[in-house]
Amino acid sequence: MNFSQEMTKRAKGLYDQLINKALGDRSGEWFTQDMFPKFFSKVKPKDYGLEDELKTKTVLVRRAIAIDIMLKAMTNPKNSKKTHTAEIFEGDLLLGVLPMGSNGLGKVFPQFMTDDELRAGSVTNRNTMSLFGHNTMNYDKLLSSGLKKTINDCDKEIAKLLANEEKIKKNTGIIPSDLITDQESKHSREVYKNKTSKDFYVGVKIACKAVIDYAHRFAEIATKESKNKSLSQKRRTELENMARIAKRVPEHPAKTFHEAMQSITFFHIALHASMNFISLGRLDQVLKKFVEKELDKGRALEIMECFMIKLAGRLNLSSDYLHKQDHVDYATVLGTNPYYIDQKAGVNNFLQNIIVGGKTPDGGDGTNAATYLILQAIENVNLSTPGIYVRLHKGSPETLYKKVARSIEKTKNNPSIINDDVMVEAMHRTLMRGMPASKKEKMLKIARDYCVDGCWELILNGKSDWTFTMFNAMTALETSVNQGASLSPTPELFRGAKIAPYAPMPKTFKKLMETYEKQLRFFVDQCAMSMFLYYMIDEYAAPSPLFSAFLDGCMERGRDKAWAGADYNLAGIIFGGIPNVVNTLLGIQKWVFPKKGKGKYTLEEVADAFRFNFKCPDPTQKATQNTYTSVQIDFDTNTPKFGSNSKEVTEVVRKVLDICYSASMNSADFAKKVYEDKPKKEDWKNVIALRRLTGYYGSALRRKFEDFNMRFTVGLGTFEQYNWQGRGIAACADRQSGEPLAPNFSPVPGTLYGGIANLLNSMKSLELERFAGGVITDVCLDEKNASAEVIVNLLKQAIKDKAGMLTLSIGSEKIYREIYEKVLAASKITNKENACKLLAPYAGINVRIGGWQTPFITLPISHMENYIHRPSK
Amino acid sequence: MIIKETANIKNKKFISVSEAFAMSSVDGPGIRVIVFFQGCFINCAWCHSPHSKPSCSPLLFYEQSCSICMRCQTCKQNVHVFKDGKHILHREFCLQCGKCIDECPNSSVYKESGTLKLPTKKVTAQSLLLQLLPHISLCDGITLSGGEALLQDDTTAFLRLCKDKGIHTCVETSGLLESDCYAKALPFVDVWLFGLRVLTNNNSDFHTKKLIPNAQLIKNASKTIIPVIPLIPGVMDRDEVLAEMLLVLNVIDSDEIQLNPWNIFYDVYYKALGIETTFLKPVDKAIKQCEAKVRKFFKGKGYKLTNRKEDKK
Repeated sequence: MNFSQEMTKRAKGLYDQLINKALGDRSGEWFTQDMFPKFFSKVKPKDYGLEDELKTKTVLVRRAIAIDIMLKAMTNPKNSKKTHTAEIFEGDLLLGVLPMGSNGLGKVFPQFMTDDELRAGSVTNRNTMSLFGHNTMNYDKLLSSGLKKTINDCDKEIAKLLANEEKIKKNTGIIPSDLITDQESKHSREVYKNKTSKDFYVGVKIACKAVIDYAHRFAEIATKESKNKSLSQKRRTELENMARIAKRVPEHPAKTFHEAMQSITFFHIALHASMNFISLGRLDQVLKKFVEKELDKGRALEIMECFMIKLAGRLNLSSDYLHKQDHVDYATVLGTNPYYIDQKAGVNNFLQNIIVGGKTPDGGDGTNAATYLILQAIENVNLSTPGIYVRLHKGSPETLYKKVARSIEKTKNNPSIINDDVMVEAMHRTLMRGMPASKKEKMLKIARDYCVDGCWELILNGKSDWTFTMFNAMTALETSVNQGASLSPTPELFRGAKIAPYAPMPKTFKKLMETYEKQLRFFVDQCAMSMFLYYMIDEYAAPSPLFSAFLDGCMERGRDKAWAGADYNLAGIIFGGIPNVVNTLLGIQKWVFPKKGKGKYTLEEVADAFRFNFKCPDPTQKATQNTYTSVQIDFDTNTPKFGSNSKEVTEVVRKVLDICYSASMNSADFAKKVYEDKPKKEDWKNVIALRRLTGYYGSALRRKFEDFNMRFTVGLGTFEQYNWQGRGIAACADRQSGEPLAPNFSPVPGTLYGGIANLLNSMKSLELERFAGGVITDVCLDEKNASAEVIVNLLKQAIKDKAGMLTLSIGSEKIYREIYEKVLAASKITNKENACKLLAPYAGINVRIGGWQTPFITLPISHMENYIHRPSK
Repeated sequence: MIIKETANIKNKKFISVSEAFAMSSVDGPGIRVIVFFQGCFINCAWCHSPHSKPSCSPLLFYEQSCSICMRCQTCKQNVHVFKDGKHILHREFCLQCGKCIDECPNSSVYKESGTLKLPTKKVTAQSLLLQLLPHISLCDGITLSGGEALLQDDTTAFLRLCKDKGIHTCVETSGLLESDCYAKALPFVDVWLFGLRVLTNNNSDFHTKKLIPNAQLIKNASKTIIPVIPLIPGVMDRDEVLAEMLLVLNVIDSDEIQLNPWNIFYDVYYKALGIETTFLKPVDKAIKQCEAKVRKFFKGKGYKLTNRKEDKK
């Protein structure tokens, strides 16, 4: 399908407005708490059909009310003078504006939790801000049913539950409120279920109505604007039409392409405004019928370009004003233990991806007119967000391969690629684990409908709730060569911080690998169990009634996604630093435990060289220093590296992956035994003891929720955290102490000596079909080699060689170095406007940094230094 | 890309190569893997790869990345000497053992770049193809360049292996080898990049008499020949040289001529080898004038001219 290959004039106007804004100070556009009414004193329960005080309501109901408060604040004209959230941008064809917020800068939302709840949550790091996002919703349902139907469904369910409540009252005489927390008895479980379900439907109703009202308020704004006689008649007619659409959707089903896009826009804004940073999923599948019906394809492209620019509305292109925009809260962390992300790298990450192409549930190819429309809009607009992934497989049409190659050639980094031939199989294996063979076909259909979340982790499109933990695989390697301790040079800690069980120094390479497996499992056990603990807290801090309304299973079960409502629960264990582990093991294999003869160094010498960052603490010990220097050189330049296609490298990569996978599955089974499975009669005492050892005193999740099944996936990558994750890690084969780890599942920048072809070829034998958590390789192709023809060949090779996921940037060391120098120069200019002007010409150069695309000029300096070495032939 | 040397090369037929690159869009039709073979006797005055002339390249040394750590002094042949803070190489003593590369923190046998480098790799034809296959699968074919690829005995065997795999092959040559070299390879080469080097330095005689029969030989075998003119200011833009080229072109009978621009990095390998250049580096103006004159001359004769480094892309 042919669309215009240049950005439409309308979109160009919007694009310029956005870039101008993004290059300046956006700190004044953020919401502040004084823009919201005081939750417990000013918000009237009656406005939401509730009788008692708000503090007596569950967190879920309160969050739903807070969504309404947020959306109202967004259309408040007084607030909008600062936030611009009630504006219609000149030429825009879609209504609604995303409020400021990002993964790296945080979010602002009305505080709906009580002081007591906040105090209690301080021990688990969960509060209002803890919404995780990282999901996709069922937009097909939104477009075909509309919110009104969801509200009606809620009313019906509430009526049923009220009748049931009467029945329970009759049976027992009372509903003992204190029993609500005691879920062990069948009776109390029924009471509890009734109560939580009722609250869930009440919350969904409030949240859905809030979005309808938001759309209607925007309809009024558009109507008012359409009466502005200074506007052209054409624009006034457009505004009237937009008002008409906003009165219809998302309340009702969408009938036209424009309505579908407006409905999605309003809902996406409502989700992100209420802190649910989630992706748009397989948008081309959802929009297929609307695009096919749309006669004016040029208009469709205009609308899609407006949509892309709207999604990028929160961009920040200057590093000068970011401190003032830091709204990250202590509880905006992943998991129950604080994990502080690399905020600057995440300034322009909004966790919003679009996924196109790929197989349909029945196994056919899903490429359609909407696929090409989305790709063209992305190509024309070429902003760093939303991210776009194309699912490719051997049977994908040639035209799609060519279109993708052309888009990458033009945008220099979009779209990213997912290999269906690997990832469908990976997801299928995950879904089938522990399932009877009879489910094979059903699970295959579900697996084929996978997508990715805001970064690249695999999830099920609108069907799954996702949570994950990251683990730095280098940590376990440190403890493996240092008897369970980190390689800390601090003398007070003797051999280092004791972060894992004691293990004797391995005497052979085989023993080292065995030790690594055991050490890794210790940490992975923590990962697997922490996900259950984390999941079981979320109902009390981070329920998502609006999202759950369109996440398959929640409405049917009457349960929020935070409380086992979704059809599928996925928990990912994502390993970072695998290439560094491989490179270090290759060095140890070659120089400490060679297949023939005696090693040049002992493992103790190597561990000490790493511990002391190759610098002997006592400068008079020349022999020791010489050993450390030799270790550094031999491990760095005289050892093959991850990414080369040699047998010795591939064997070690395979071994490491086998260990990661088997350890994860082993830990997953153990965690499920502790928290999820109903214990066997003969085993229940032991299991209860195990639960209590972990600090959990409740019952098995399968007892609470009969069909609960946490499915564990394993992934390989670092997201943008590779710089961050390297900070606490001692030196190793390919880096000095504290330096970045390898990004994702990619060679250390500057070490792709064998070229991209060899890297891809080496993937063949790794059985990446095991890694349904996602396994992503970042490649930066030197612009000298980057023609569309080369890219098509490269894409086909990646699919054939069974690479899991691939991000392909095109760049040159020269341009990256040039920008880097300019950024350094700009940082020395005191006049911020002049500094911005210096960098403005580079605003359109986006790069891939692990989890997402970002403008190069906004990267932290350490990321830039790392990126400069990436272009490869 | 790095070519891995075949182990235990003794008693095996082998090929010597110096470098290889994937995804080149200027070295033959479409996107190519290009392999530079070692060895050439032609002695063009403007040669920009002097290291590829002998059968095995001497040690290359890139001074700018040397950190003067002096670890290379472990060399028992005393190749590496440091005087007044300067790293001096005595290549005449070098046994090519590679020990200095192992010791150098800025060099690696696994990398293309580095302070010290021994570029020549001896590989069997089978091993070379096996190593190149992943790259070839991303490309439209392979181009053999050099040096003079056809000077080596086993090049034909390598080309045969390529054709057995259905790979599109191209050979770049000066056209100045013995006819036998071309005759042997002819069945396995799809396209020839044929250098119109009627002159290899300003003092030599014209090579037209050598070029014409070789061009004729290839032409008779109905193979595609793309004539290539190296744009050497002061040599290739001389009137009598242009006239001689025309004689060869009449045999080749191609509408298209590829212009190979002056290599601005002409002296890099000379510096790395520690030797003097053999051709005076032309100034920009001379380079432009040379191209303009050659273009005008052949355009006037009805030829279509492409610039090898730019036009194709």
